[in-house]
Amino acid sequence: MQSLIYANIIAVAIDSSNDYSAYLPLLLCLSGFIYFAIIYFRYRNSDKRHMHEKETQTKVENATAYDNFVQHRKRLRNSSMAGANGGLIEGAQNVGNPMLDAGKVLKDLTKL
Amino acid sequence: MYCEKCGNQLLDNARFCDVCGQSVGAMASSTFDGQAPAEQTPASAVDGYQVTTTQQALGQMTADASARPLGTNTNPEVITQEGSGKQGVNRCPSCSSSDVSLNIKTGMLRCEFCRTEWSEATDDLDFDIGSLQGVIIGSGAADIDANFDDVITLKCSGCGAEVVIDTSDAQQARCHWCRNMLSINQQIPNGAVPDAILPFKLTKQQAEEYIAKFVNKRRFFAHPKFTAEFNPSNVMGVYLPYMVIDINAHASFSGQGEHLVRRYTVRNNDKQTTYYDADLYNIGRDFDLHIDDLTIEASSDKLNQTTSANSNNVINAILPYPLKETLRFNANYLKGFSSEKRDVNREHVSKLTEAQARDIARYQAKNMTGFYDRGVRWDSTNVDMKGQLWKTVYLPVWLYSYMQVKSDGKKFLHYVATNAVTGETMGSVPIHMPKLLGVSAIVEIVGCAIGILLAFILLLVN
Repeated sequence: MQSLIYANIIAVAIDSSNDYSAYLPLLLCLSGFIYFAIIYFRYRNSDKRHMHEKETQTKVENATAYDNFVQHRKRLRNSSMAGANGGLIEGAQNVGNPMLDAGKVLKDLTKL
Repeated sequence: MYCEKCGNQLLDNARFCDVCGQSVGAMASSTFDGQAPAEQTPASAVDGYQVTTTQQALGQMTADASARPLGTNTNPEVITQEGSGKQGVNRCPSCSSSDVSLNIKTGMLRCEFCRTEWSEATDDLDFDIGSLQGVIIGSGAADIDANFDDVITLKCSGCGAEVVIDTSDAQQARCHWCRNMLSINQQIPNGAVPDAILPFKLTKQQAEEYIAKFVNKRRFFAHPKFTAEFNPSNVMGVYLPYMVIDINAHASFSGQGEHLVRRYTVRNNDKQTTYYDADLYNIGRDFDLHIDDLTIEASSDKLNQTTSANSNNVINAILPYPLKETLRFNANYLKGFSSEKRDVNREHVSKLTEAQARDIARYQAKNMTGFYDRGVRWDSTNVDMKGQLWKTVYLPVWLYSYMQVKSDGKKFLHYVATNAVTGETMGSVPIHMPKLLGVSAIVEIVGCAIGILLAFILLLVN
C-alpha cells in the first residue's frame, strides 16, 4: 500500500508534465499525510489480504488468442487506456476503504 | 492374553484393557510399521446424502461427464473418504491406549503411553482437475442441517458407557468410567467434522518468536497499553475451517487493448503538455483454466473482513497453505488446540468463489496481454465453471489476540496470526494515535517548510 501511495502521487506528477521538479514542493507539502498513511498501514495492515489471483495454483491449457488492429490514436492525454479493467479484483474480502478506516480512526481520536 | 482385573480377552500387544482400562504389564519400547490401524472401518453413510467412495466417485464422474450438460449439475455428488478415523475410541496400533496426540516436531500422531508414532493417510479428495464435471463435494462440505443436535452420544467401545460430546466446541471427550478417549471422526451434518486436516508444523515456541519479532518491529507507535500487556506466550493454536475448491473452468475474454507508440511533450507558451500516441486493437483470449485449491474461510466470523470493524483480514493474509500435505481428519490432531466449527455452506460462498475464479482468470489473461502496455479493457468476461470439487479442511493458525477498548467504550479485536506451517506472519497492532499524529504533524511542518523553500528556489532559477 505504501508503494501504491507513492506510485500514485509520483504518477500524477509525471503524467502531467516532464518538469517533475515543479511538483516536488507539492509532494513535500503532503509529507505529513503520506507519513501517517505509511505508518498506519504498517501497524494495522488493513490493506493486507490473501492475493488469491496470484497465490492460487493455476494451470492454463488450450489457449487461443486474436489481436486485430483497429486504429492508430494520436494526442491522447491519459497515460493509460480509458476504462482499462485488466487488473480488476472482484473477490477481495478485506472490504472497506483502508484510507476511510484511517479517517475513522482519526475521527475517533478527536474524542480522546 | 486376558486382563488380570476383569478377565477380558486382549490383543497380544495390548497395554490396556479395552473394558476396564487396566494397565497390562510394564511398558516396553515398540515400533510401528506405519500402516494404518487394521481395525479402521469405512466411514458410514450420512443420512440424507448419496454417499460414494473415492474410487466409485471417480468412475462415476467420468461416466457422468458425457451425459450431463456442462455446469448444470444441481445435485452434487457427495464423497466420504474411506478409512478416516474411527468413530468412538481410536487406539494406538501398538499398545491400544486411546491417549493420542499430535507430535508437532514430526507431524505424526503419537501415543502418549508407548510413544509409538504414526500418521493418517493423505487426503485423497484430489482428482485430475481437467476431468472434473458438475459439482462434487466431500461429505465434510455438505450443507449444515440446522435441526441437527450438536450433542452426540457415543457408546464407549471400551466399557459400554454412553458418553456425551458437544460437537459445537469439541470433537473428543473422555469416557467417565474407563477413561478412554472417544472421538468424532466421521462427518455429521452440523459442519463439525471436516474432510481433511493439515496438522501444526510450527511449535508454540517458534510461533512466539515469529509474533514477537513482528510486534517488536512495530513498537514505537504501538499503543502503550498494548506494549505493556503484550505477552507472546498467550498465543493460541487454533484450527480454522476452510472451504477448498478445485475448479475446472473455461475462460473467454474479449475487449480492446492499447499499445503505446510514442510519448511526447508539447510546449505552448509556458505550459507543457504530454501526449501519447497508441495503437488500438480488438483482442480476445480463450483458455481452459484449472484452479487448484482455492481457499475460502468457512466460518461466518472469519469470513467477515470489514476492516473498520475487525482485523480478520490478517488471518486471510497468511494464506496459502501447502494443501497437498493435508491428511484425512482424525480428531486426535486437535488435542491441545482449539478449533472453530464450520457454520457456512457452499451457497454462502458460491458468489465469492465465482468472483475469485474470475479474478484468477483475469490475472492469467493479463499475463497473456503484456504487449498492451497502456492497458486492456475487457468488454466481455465469461468464466464457465464446468466442474467443481469442494471439501472442507481444518488449517492450523497460531493466533495472538488483543482486545482494544477505546475511550468511548468501543472494542476492536486485533490479531497477530502465524501460518502454523509456513511461518508467514501478519497482524494488526493498535496504534498510539496522539503520538503518530504528533510525529506526522512535525513531518508535515518540516516537509512544508522545505517545499516552500524549494518552490522559491525554483522560481528564482526559472
